Amino acid sequence: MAVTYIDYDIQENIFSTEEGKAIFDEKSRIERWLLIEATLAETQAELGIIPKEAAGLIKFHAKLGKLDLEKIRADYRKGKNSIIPVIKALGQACGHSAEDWVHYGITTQDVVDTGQMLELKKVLFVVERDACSIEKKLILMAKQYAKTPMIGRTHGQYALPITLGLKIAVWLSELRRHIERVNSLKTRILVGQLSGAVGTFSVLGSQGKILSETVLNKLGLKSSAVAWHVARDNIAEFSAVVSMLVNTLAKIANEIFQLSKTDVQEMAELAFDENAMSSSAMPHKNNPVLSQRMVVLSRHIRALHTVVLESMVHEHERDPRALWSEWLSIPQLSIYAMAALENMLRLLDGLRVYPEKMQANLMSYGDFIASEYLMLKLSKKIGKSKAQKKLHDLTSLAVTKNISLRSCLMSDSELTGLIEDEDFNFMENPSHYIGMSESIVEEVIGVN
Amino acid sequence: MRAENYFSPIALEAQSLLRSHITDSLFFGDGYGTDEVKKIFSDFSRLQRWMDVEIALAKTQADLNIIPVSAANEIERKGKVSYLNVEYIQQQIQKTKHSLIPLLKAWQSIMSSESGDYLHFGATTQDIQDTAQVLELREVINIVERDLKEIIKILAKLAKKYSSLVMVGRTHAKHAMPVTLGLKIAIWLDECMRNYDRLMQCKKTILVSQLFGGVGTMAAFQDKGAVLLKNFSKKLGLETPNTCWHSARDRFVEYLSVLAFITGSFAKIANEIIQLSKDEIGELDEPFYEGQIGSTTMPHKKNPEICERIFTLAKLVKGHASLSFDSLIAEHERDYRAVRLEWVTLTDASLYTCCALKLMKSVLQGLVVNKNNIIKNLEKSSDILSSEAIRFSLSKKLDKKNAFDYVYKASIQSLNKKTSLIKELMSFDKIKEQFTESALNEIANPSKYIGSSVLMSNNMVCKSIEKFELSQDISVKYIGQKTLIITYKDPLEKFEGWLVFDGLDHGLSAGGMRVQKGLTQFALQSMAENMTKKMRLCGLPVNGAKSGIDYDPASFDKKLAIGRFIKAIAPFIQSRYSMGSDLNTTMEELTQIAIAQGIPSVKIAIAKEQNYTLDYFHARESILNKMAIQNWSLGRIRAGYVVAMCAARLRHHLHLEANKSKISIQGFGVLAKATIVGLLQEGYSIHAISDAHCCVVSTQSKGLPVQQWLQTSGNTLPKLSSTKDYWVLDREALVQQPTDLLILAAIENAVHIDNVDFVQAKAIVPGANLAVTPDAEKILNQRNILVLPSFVAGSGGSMSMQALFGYKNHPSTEQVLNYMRKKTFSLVDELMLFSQKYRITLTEASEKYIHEKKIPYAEKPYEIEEEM
Repeated sequence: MAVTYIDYDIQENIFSTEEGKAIFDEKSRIERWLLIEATLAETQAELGIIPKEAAGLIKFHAKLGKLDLEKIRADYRKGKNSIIPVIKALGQACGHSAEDWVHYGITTQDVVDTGQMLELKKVLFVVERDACSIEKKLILMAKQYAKTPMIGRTHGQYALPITLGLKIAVWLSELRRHIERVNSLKTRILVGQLSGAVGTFSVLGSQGKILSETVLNKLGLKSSAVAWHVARDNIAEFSAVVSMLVNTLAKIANEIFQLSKTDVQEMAELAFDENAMSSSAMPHKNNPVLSQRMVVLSRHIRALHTVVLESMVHEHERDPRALWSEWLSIPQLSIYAMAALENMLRLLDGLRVYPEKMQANLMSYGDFIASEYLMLKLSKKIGKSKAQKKLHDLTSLAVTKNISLRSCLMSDSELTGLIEDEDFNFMENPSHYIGMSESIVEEVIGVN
Repeated sequence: MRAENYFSPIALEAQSLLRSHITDSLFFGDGYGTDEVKKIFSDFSRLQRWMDVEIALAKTQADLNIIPVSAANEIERKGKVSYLNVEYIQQQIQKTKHSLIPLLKAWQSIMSSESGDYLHFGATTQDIQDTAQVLELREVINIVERDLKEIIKILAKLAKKYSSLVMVGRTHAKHAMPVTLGLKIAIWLDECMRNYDRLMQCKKTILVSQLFGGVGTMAAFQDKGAVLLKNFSKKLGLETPNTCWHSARDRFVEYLSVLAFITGSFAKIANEIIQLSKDEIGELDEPFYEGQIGSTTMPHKKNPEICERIFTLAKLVKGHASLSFDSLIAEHERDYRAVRLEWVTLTDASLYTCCALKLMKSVLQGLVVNKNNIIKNLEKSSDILSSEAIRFSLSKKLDKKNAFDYVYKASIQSLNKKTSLIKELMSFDKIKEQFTESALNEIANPSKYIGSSVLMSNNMVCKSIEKFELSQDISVKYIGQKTLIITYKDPLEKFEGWLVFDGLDHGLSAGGMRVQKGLTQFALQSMAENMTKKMRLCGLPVNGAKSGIDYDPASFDKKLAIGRFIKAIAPFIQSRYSMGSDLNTTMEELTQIAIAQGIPSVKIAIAKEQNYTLDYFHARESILNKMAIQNWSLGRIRAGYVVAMCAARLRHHLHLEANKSKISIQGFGVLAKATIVGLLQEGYSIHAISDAHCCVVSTQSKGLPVQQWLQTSGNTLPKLSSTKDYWVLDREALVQQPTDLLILAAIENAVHIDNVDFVQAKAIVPGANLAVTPDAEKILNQRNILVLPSFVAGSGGSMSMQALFGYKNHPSTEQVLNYMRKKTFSLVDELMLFSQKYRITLTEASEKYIHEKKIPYAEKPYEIEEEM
């Protein structure tokens, strides 16, 4: 039975990716726990904590294929622990002599938390890889459109000219900060733990610390001086950084969604594909489906991140209520995030940009575009507050009378001689008023 | 309470030092709350409310002899925050960390120790604070209820005003299909009405008291707990809860959820306005007030500032609502963490909501609708908007799959080549064989493809009237898709009345109001349908309606009865029902009664639909009082005039000469007399007339000397006896007279199965309803006698309204009569043509004509495009 979009078989990978699902696949997770148990036994044998023969047997049997899967399933149905059925099966497979040395001196959460860290490591690899690919694409686009003028919008309303390159440079700089965050995060959070039931190394004693360091080192994780069973800040930081990244992507997707509206048409997601119909009723439709999916993914990730934050509040030495909330959130959140990254790559690959339409929209606003420029000009001559009032009145007049600002300026007696031909020329070429857009883009691209 | 120096710099600084929450900001607080709601939550109001609850407790306990009456009296007498040492309370709360005890101590310190002992007797702090919190929310709910209702009314007005304004509908941010702005707004309206229901439901649940003591057992009240709780609740106007709810906070979560629904819906509306006000779209704008500044750097900017604020407030409310779910998880018998959370969530969310309501109201009140841009955007995409309509039309001749594929391919081509969809469709041979370009263009007309948009928006408007503006004496029911029946039950005399709407797909409904003993809803229903037929005959974008009361018209109290009925249906008169006079009512009396009820005219809906000021409307309406022919005013002659014109035109179709044709008229009331005047004006003579008593038949070819009889008032002929010029016969003799045209202008069933065989006319024009019974009509048809349906000759009222209001400037009476004459002629011509073409009777032809008639959508109900 596949009951969520993540697992759907027929509508495959709409809100997930193959790669992401493979990381959190149930059997892979159990294999990961077995790997931890095997590494533990091996290291314990090296340190003389358990017999070498036992460790050999444990290592040999610590594969899901060698265990009685039906038995494990039956035990999970009866039991209330999240790992005992696996350990029991491993013990039974190892036989009487090694059974007692399986999972020696550690607690369930040691294995599960360490296992989860191994997963997050893989997720972070994918996230970084894809974020860097997106970065490369954005750099190319920013270069390509560095001089392409378009209207800038604030409050959803036309404001002043910018270039598309500048818009993309803003995305780029934001994305780069996220990549930095991911890099910094990796140095901090990829830490496992093996300190026993209440984090005191009660069984392993003084050998515990070296054991834990060696095992985790072998697994590719760092070890922590103190147990983090109830200190979930690392997980919360992971979730926060990933959500931030995805929300930036959603911001970009929303911008594409807005700019591809029929009324705007400055961009479009994937042109018509002969076989991909957007609407069951309206044959003419070409919907921005990818950018919409991005927004959906970001909403879910935001909500899931709230749960993860809530799960920081553990009680006493261990608190499964908080832990389990994390278990339900982290895999979904990670899979959605990886899907969002992949979606973004596809979206950018198929993105159409229409510089002519950008120019047309820019020109359609007539000379209002130049209002700030004119204000600066006039301020020098009649003072800022007077200039502001004057232009406000004249633009209102132009709107109510539906005439050009230019004619209002020309017919205003107070402004006679104050506006020069050069200024009128400016109004006709709003693309002159893109400020430092181009050099900002160059600067952003230049910084690596 | 503001001191003189409130705004002095020092006072301001001192004030702002300790007030850092944005709602308290002297500068920005206005954007996050309203003064009205802030007062409810202010520090002093809160303390005073706690004291009020303590007083109610003491008084109730005194009533039940739990505490001495004197103690309760002193508690009440000293129970004002202003009597207390507020500074002490503030310090002690900080020190003791208790929220109520310091207040009680300060209060006790100003009363005798005997009374002081009985303060807060047996209650727990949370009892007092929870009850006070409920009282607090009661005040907020009243504001929310009031404002939401007003917003609903504004939305209803907008939905009606723009019910047929066609615009682009968008899905996935792309142009999809045409809709009307009215429908868009009707959806907002429906949503807000559901939120209103939620608020009312929540109000019922939430308004309960709390008085159960430390762990909810009422231990301190001994056996008097239950009665104490009941009386205490009653005193405060609250319901009595079943059990204590110290740790069951669901009521407040429900309240906050409802606020989140209300503001969430507003955010949707605000966002729609923001989106549609973008420069590329420019269809809507929020009002921009004089003095408002859009941008510090760009003088031209007009930003959708208010809508953005509404959007933000909704997010804040949502945040508090979701926080409140955490307070559901309270532990054991009491858990103050929930209460502490509520002090923030309830307060802030209430402030934000009230502010959002205020802002939403101002946006909707001044909503700017840029029709030019709406039309422009629609025209730009007109062919793609109709891809579904085209697909349906194609699939009638091709199969469904093929139809979709053709339109799909053509869409791609048109987008790639930037040509029109229809041009591309015409490039396929298969399509070219079956369709012409103009046929496809006709299908692609967006205003033809708005489905039931108009009907649905008008329906919503009626539902909102039904919900908010009708008294209890009124009930409303829908029959099928189109009939709306408003039933009135008179509380005084117990008679019944009805207002029946036959269809709501236009902005206006018109029809008369009658007073008739034994009147039934079903009779009115068929009369309303008849009205619709008349409207459609005249080509008017108006729906039929009819109203009336089952009441004795001779009763002394008739005017009062009509007055109560009109008052009850006033919201409909104000919005869509244009009332006329009918059986046993006159325009003068209806107008008089309406004015007494504060309604300026029973036809006020016309003024609104035509966009007239009241004065202009009155000036236009008063043309009806002007003399049209001799001493006949336009208002009195119009109905009869059209009957006369129908007769005149039928005469033409019978190929008779005007001065040689014989005309008989049954009746001598206003309708019959007006018909006679109309006919005389056209140069006809009248051969026979009957009233309730007798029948006069001319013996001369020049006809009856009817001119002199017209001066008599009332419904009867002057007393006559036979002369050489005419004979006076029994009144039944009229229908038996050999005549060319028989006009029935008096009663129902004038020609029936028993006298039909004696009819010797060539054609019958029934001016009155049902003057010819259906079985009689069948026989007349067999005998090849033309019978015009009564709704044709009876359409004078509707036709005159068209002429009266349709012209751009005030028309003269001649202009109105002329219009009616030409319109009647062309109508009769068309019906005759239909009847001959399809070999069907005139009644069948009329029904067919009405059925097939296409009424185009119109902004105003009455508009005459060119001089006829």
